[in-house]
Order: sequence, then C-alpha cells, then structure tokens
Amino acid sequence: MSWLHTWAGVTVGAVLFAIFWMGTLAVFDAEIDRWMIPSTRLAAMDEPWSLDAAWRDRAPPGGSSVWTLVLPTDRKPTAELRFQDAEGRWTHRLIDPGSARTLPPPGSLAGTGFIYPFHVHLHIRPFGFGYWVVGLAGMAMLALVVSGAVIHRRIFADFFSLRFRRKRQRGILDLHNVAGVAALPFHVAITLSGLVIFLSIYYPAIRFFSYAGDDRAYYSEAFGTGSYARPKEGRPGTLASLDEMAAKAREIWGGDAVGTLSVVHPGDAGAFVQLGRSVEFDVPYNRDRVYFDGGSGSILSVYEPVPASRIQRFIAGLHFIQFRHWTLRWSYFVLGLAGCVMIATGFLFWIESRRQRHAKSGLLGVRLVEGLTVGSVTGIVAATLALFIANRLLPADATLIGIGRQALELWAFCLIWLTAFGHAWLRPKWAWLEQCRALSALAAAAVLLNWLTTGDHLFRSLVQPHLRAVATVDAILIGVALLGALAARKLRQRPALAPGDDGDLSLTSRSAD
Amino acid sequence: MLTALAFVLVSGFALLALSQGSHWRAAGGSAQLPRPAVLALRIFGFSLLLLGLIVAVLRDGGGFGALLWACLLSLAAFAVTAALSFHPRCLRGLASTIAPFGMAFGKMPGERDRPERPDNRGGETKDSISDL
Repeated sequence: MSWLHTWAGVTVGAVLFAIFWMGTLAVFDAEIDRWMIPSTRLAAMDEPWSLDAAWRDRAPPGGSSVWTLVLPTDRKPTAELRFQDAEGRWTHRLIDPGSARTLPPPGSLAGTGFIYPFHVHLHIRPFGFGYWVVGLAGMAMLALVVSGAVIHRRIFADFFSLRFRRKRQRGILDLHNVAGVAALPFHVAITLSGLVIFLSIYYPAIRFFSYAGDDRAYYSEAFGTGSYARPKEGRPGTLASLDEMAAKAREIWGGDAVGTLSVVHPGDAGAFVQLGRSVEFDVPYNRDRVYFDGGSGSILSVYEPVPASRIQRFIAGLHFIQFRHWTLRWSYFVLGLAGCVMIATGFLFWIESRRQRHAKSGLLGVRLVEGLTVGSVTGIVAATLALFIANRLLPADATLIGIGRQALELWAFCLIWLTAFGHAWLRPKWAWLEQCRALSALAAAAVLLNWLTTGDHLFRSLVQPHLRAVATVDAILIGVALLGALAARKLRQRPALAPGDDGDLSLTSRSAD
Repeated sequence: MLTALAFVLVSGFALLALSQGSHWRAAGGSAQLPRPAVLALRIFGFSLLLLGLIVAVLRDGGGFGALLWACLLSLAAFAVTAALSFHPRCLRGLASTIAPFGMAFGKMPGERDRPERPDNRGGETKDSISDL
C-alpha cells in the first residue's frame, strides 16, 4: 500500500496538481470571465428579459437550422446567441440584455474557455485523449486517497495534529495528512463525481449492450438529447409567443426559470421550440426539457429523466457546481486549495525524506522530482498569473506573426510554464524561493493592471454589486501575492540559503530544526 | 443559521480534539482526563456533528443541506486544527469549563491510580490507535 501510494503519487502527481489547480479556479470561472473580459462587467437586469423581444431583435438570417439563446444568470450577466450565419457557419454572440446590444468579440478564452476546459481535458483534443488522461488521473487519485488512508496508521490520533515546530519533515507530513483526512469526503466525492460525469466515454459498453449500439436512443433516454425531433415542412410560418411558452414550462418545473431556449427550423411552419430548465436552483445539473410547437405554442413533449439519470445528474451537479449557493462555492474553493496543498506537500515529503539518501548515493530521483514539483506547483500558478497579465496588457486587436490575441494569451501561459520547469531544473537550490517571489510579484502586478486598465479597483468593486466578480478575483490574487511573499520569507529564513552559501541544502537543513 | 451551523460543527470538533490527551494538555488542561470523561466528550462531540447535519438540512433542504454539511465539516476540522496548532489558548475557555465535570467523573469504584505517562518529546505522547 505504501509502495502504491508513493509510486502513484510521484508519477501522476504533476497531472493531478494541474487538474486540481484548474478545477479550483474553475469554481470561479464566470468571475474570471468578468475580470478578463471587462466588456462583460454588466449589471444584472431588474426584470426578467422578454424572450419575444429577444426573438424580434435577433431572429437569425434565413437558413440557420437552430437558433439558441442562453439566458443570463446571476454569475453570467450576458446572454449568448448561437446560430448559423448566412454562409452556414456556426457563430455565437454575446448580448447585453439591458441594452440589447451585441458586445464586441471577447478576444480571450478566459475562465470558461480556457481554465475550465483545461480541467476537463487538459486541452488535449485529438481522439478525446485528454478525457482519458484526466480519467486515469482520477482513478489514480482514488487509489491514492484509499491507500493514503490505509497507510496512515494514526489517522484518528493525528487528526488534529499540525506539528510545525518539530522537524520539517514532520510538519510537511502533518500538513499533507490534515489536508487529506479532514477534507476526505470532498476529495472522494469530487474525484468520483468527476469520473461519473463522463460515464458515456468510460463505459461505452452501455451503448453497445443495453441499447444495441443505438447511440441516439441512449443519449435521448439518459440525457434528453434530441428526445423530440421533427423535420422542416418547407413553407414559412410564424412563431407564437415565447414568453407564454416560458410561463407554461415554468409551471411544469415548479417555478424554476428557463435556462436555455432553442428554436429549431426557425422561420419554418414546422418550427418547434425547446426550453431548457435553469440549473441554478437545485443540485442536479438537470437536462429537463419541454418542447413546444412553434406556430401554436402547445406542448409537444416533456423530457423526464429516468431514475438512473436523476442520480447521475445529481452526482454530476455536485461536481459542476453551477447552482446558486455562495457558501458552497467558497467552500469548494477552499477545499480545492486543500487538495492542491495535499498534492504539493506529498511531493515535498517524498523529496525531503529521500534527499540525503539520494545525494549520498548519487541517485537522480530527488533532483528530477524536485524540478518536476517546482514546475508543476509554483510553475502552473505562475503561468496562470502570466495569463492574467497578458490579458490585461494585450490590446484588443493584438496580433503577432499571425497569432491572434486569444492565442497570444495562451502562448504567454505556455512559455512561462516551460520557463518555470527550466528554471527549476537549472537552479534547484533557489527555485522554490525565486518562484515564490515571482508569484507574489506577478499576482500583485495583475491586481495593479486591472486597476490601471479598467479602473475597477478593489474599493470600487467591493461596493458595487455588479463588480462583485472582479472583487472576488482581485481578492484571490491578493491572497496569492501574500501567500507567495510569506512562503518566500520562510524559505529565506532557512540558514542554508544565507547569501554566499552554496552549500548542500540537504546536510544543513536537518540541523536547522 | 449559517453561523449557528458553523458554531455547532466547530464546537463538535473542539470537544473531540479535547478528548485527546495531547490537545487537552495543549489547551491548558492539567491532569489526564479520566476515561469516562473522554468517552463523554466524544459522545457529545459526535452528537454535535450530527446535529449539524440536521441544521444544514433544515436550512437548505436535502440536496444542498447534505453538501453544505459535508463541506463545513471539513472546514470546521481545519479551523480546530489551526487553532490547536497556532493558538491553543483559544480552547482554554472550553477546557476550563469541561475540567470540573471531567474531574467529577473521578475514579470508578475500585479503580487504581494510573501513573501519569511521561512526556518525553515536548508535549507529544504516544496516543495509541485504541484511543478512538
């Protein structure tokens, strides 16, 4: 068990940290969107938006097979339109519901476009390979949590113990144990629910054996996708009142609001409207749908999930956390950070407990893993901060050798991450200290740049409700800056790092305690 | 209701922590707590944690309530751990309230005096896993 825990941790830990870090940030992905795309820092509307007005203003040009409107929520004040343009290309536009004007292209992938998908599939798209890497990491995480609990002999006696004043290894191990055991329900639930979300990918056998290979039947019954369809009639028709359809749907759903609206075959006599239920008001990430006839507004079909689907939607929902519950949202953020601390301290303990032995016998393990750890822990944080800074520095129409603004931000992320790895392997004794200092400086710079480029500094954003998202991100950045400075200070206090001392860290560090 | 919930959970974990010898001493408790007192502390502690579940479900309904309880349990455990590690005197008040009740449990009839286990590592003693 100890062997399993150690080896799974060392080999998969870097990927796990990336997934946990991006996942923790993704809790506030909509808030990061507001921070990175200032044009979306809009006030919430006082009255619900009229769907008929939206349709009147925004009906697609002829030819679009589907017209979809994603309605604003309390975290996403913009509405999103998706339709096929005159050339048949799928386009999407962000709308300010208050003024009904189209917002300029965001020029940034931001939270929902980069950070959240990074967590889901590490942006490794070919053949869906990324889903499998994340899935395997998730399975490894479950093995790690179980083996960790088994090998932790004093799991109850040490439940509340954080012994920093003893040897450094004791403090690191205690922190690793507390971060793991105290948040054990969260770690298990999050990892397992993450795997359950993608059961369609990890268990293709369901479709082959239970549905005789009929993908459409499976997705229709399990997720309601395409549970109602009818072809175009080929002659023009008008659309009945969308707001009345919405009212009928809300009655069926016990008062819950509409989340998405789709008009299929818009402009045709055979048009029908699909209304999707909001996911804000309950834990399950529901896919409840009501289908209406376009011309008359009468109900055609109501999608009801089967019991197995209900369970899967609840489990998925507790992972997606798209519901409106601010205590839970902040709790998930803190517990996600605890997971990051658990993974990082796991690495640190492995390194510290083998440092002397490897130095004496000339093994490269510690050097390799330490470089890997610095790069994957402080490195990815630095890369994320570089993403924020690039976002604030790049002008709206920036291009460089043919690379657009959106991609330039991602280049900043990747280059800083690679630099962090290089720095870690080239300057092993100073890597932690220098990267902590860099994190502190980068985070402070990001907060400053937000103020300089948008004027929404923390004192203003804390007071105005529609800027609460910006305040959230600024506060987190300030937290990172303070933590980085604190860590740098603690590291600097280690006698082995006195100026001019290039001595072997491993021999002096033990006597320092 | 949220503050009440937080208070209930933190108190529950505080009682459980104080039932462990090293933390009882760190919070200023003098002698070793007699076995019945330790048991009582643990029963009360776990009961408070369960009460937290009821409060959470009353506040937010079944789904959200269960999630809220599970999350706040962990956060409360972190809070008590941090207090014990950085500022054990926070629990001094609680410890001194418990002490007279604990001592009142006293010795069971016929029980001999158990010698104090020597502290040989600056406050750390070998709590055996059979403690819980």
